[in-house]
Amino acid sequence: MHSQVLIKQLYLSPIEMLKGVEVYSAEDEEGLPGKYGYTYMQKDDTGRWWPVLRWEMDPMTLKGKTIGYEHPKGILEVREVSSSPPRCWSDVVQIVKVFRHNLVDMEVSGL
Amino acid sequence: MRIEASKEFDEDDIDTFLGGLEERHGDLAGLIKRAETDMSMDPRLRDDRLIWSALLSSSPGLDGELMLGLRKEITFEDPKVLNMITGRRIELLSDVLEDPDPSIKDLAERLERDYKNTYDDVKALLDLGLISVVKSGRARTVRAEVDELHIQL
Repeated sequence: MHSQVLIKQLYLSPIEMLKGVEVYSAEDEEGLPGKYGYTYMQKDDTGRWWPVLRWEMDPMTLKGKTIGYEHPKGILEVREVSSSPPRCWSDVVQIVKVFRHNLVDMEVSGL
Repeated sequence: MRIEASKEFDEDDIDTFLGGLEERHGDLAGLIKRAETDMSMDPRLRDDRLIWSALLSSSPGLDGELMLGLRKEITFEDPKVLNMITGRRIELLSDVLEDPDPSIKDLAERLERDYKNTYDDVKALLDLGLISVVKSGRARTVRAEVDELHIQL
């Protein structure tokens, strides 16, 4: 063997993945990223934790804009909002489900 | 607490791995193009591109022979993952390591378990990245992605 490629992955639990996810626009009118909201975890009556998406601005203003979901571990997703933006936890869950793999940090190095 | 799972790929594993990449994407140039134009930013495309590029750039490519090694390491820092790695699932993983590429039905028969429970365990191990499910003709076969598990308290 002359060289080795190393794949390192870090698994994050669904709860970890959703902690502190921020929703922001890629650029506001001044060309700066603007924060639109964030997720937090809320316990329901059965004791189960659910992610909740809290908007800090009217989500309808996002129409036609490019938004991203940022996590302390990195950006989850950037997409253009063509119709109504995600409003509730179920939308966030869907996003996280689809992009779950993205949250498994991966580092590849060729040695 | 940390759980570390790893696998050292041998030459056959690397060939299979590269074959899987070719099957999914054609060639690296095509994958790069797809990844650049993919609006959904599918992370699997990004991961495959990274790994494939690293594999090719690490290989001297003499006589078409791959002269490299590949090692995969997965780290779990969430103690709850231990609940997901049950005795039955470790048994399943060991069985697949010993005799690779069974279908889920074959696996259920070999382990003398019912299909649904076997399927659920395959799904759980798949979610953790410890196995992969590969399409083989009409069947889907199960392959181990790791061959070592270490728990550090």
